[in-house]
Amino acid sequence: MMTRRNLLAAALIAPLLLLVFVSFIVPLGATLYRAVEDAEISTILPKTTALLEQWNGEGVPSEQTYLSLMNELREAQEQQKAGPVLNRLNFEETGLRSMLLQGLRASGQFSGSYKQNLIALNPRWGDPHFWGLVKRSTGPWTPLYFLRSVDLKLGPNGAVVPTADEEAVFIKLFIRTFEISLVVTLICAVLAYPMAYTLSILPQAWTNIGIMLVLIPFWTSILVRTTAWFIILQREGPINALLLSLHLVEQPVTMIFTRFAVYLAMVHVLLPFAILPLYSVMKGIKPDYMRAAASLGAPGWRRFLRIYLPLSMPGVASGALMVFMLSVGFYITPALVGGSGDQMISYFIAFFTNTSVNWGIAAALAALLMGMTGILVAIAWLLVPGFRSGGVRV
Amino acid sequence: MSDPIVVFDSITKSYDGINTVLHGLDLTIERGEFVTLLGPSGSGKTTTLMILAGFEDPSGGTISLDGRLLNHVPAHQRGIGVVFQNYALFPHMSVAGNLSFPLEMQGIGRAERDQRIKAALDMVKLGPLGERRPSELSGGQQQRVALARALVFQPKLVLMDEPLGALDKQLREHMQIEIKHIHEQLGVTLVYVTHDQSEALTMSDRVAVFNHGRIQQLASPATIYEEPANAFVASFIGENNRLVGTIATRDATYCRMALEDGTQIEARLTGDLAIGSKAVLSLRPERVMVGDSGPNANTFNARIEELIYFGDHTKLRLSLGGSSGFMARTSFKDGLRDLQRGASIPVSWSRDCGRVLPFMEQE
Ligand SMILES: Nc1ncnc2c1ncn2[C@@H]1O[C@H](COP(=O)(O)OP(=O)(O)OP(=O)(O)O)[C@@H](O)[C@H]1O
Ligand SMILES: [Mg+2]
Repeated sequence: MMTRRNLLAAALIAPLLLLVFVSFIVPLGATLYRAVEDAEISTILPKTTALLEQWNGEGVPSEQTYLSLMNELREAQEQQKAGPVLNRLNFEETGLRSMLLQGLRASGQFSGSYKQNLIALNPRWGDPHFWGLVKRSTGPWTPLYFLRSVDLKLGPNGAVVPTADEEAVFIKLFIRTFEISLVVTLICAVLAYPMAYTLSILPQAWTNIGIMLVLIPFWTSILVRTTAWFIILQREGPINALLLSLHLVEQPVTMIFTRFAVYLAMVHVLLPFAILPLYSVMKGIKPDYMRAAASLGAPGWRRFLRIYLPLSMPGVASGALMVFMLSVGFYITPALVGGSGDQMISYFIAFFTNTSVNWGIAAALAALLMGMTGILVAIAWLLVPGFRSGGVRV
Repeated sequence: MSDPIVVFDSITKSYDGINTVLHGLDLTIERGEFVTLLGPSGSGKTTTLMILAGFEDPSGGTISLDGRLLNHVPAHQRGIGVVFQNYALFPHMSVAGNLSFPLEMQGIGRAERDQRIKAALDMVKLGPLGERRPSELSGGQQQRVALARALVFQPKLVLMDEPLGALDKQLREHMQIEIKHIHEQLGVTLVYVTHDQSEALTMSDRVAVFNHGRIQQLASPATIYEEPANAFVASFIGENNRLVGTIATRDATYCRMALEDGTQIEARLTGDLAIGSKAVLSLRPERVMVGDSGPNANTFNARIEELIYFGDHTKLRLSLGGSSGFMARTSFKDGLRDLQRGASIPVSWSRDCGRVLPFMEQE
């Protein structure tokens, strides 16, 4: 009897599990897999990979290895498949792409030993370190993308070392992403609180109008709203026109492509996400609690601090959580109204995915972003009262 | 002997400026008294309490507490304990935290707070539950916490708005007795709102019967029950027979009222009614004697329309004097078991039991 019931329950819940699996677990797994997978060289250059397996890492590999690398590369190039290999090796060390292409071009006129010809062309061909890098890239796994995401790399002897200063951008980017997100979350919470409160005490007819005013922008595409800010904030835009005509400023104020513009546009987009949960929580706070507190001798500000604020905290928490999570993934808005110093990590994830086609680093950045966000939320969970109920009033 | 603590002086209230909820309310509450505001829904009981607690401002008139004019004193400076119908216990604080709140507001130190919280919890028999959250308590326990919280800061005046409304009958009756004991023990002045008349009658020193924003009668429970001041009070409190007629003859205390079919009933006169004016006779079913009667002024033959058996008593629905639905109550000790529907029996009552009151159109 019991087991039949359990089976039934399992059958009923199965679609949900399937959905979670398909929409969450699978993409997450695929992303993590991409971030550590290292299959380009071993699939496109299989013979070279096999030969390098036999090389013990001392001195240079055999003539046969040189020959096979060149032949397989040439073959791949003819089939337009050399790109990933070149990208992969160049990611190990900048400059390897041009060295390989140079070798490939010259190899047409080679007579005799490929090894000697290549070393004559560029002494690096005779450097065991170069071959070490190639061998390291034959996979099947690599920590490289994750290391690079936190500005680290593997040194010559396999030790983890910091990347060169000019390549060390990602930690700064993560910090910037979380800084922008926290500031936006804070501004949203501070603005949303009095707005939601006002909505919650208005007479019903006015509440409906107020909610509509909150929702209409919410239903408008992010792109449209961000573009609107672009137009409003630009040098020749209405704000500057107004300031100039009032002689408040001599020169147009630079507002577009600044951090200010990013905050403004992001807060505008995200404010409803903070207002709505707060409103629903505040709506549920019975006026009797405040009356009871008053009858027990608490003046207005103490009623607020001791009763209203704690009771509305779950709304603050769930609103802030929503805003923060969405901010962390923001991409369009900073790209349109921010300067180069205001781009967030998602911009680079998109860049590595679409433009420079380096899915490994894109996946590693995305996975790290998710992990760090999870850790921050967990910390908030532990430290902020009212967070644990996730906005559900207990 | 008179030592008023609260004085309402022609308080009026309108929430929207159109409908008047309270019409010039005058009410004086003595120190240490247990006063109940009783009335049908919407009669203005809660509004009266809210004005006294300072949650609503009166539209006109004055209230004073201990001789001090209250009109512009905010709620948190009035020092009045309030028990809300849904308790309004702070859900994010423990029971002890709830009780501690008013003491903290008064700036009372930790040690004394703890001691007073413990005393208050012991008083409502919740000693060991201080660390629980309100949501972890039963309805009756929450009610006790609300009571303890309203009393722990030792207010001179405590207001309760239907505090037992959410409890089941048995628990309600138990809490009625307990509240009564606490009132006697502490000597605090209590204003209690209910629309349960038996609650009002059993607990109060005085009952104020409300209807349509006016106090219809303010008197002791016995007076309210036995000598209702008007037809509304008579019909609102307890079961009641109402017979409409006109005054035929009268003297200072008694009158004879003629029903439509000419039947005349002798009864006590309440209010100044001229001969020939329309009036209502109010008579409690338990005052009607069924079967063999004594030497009563009013003896009639009635026909039984229905018998309703209650165990300890039986109710008879009778037709009398041309109107049906006249109720009588009998304990059936006198061999009346064989009464049948449709049978005719004598009924009688003393002239002191019936009260003739001015006819009021609105009921
Ligand atoms: N906040 C308010 N705004 C407008 N009208 C109100 C408000 N509160 C009460 N009223 C009106 O005032 C009248 C008296 O209400 P009140 O709550 O005092 O009645 P009550 O005697 O306590 O009734 P109940 O037994 O149902 O609690 C009612 O007609 C009610 O509709
Ligand atoms: Mg009420």
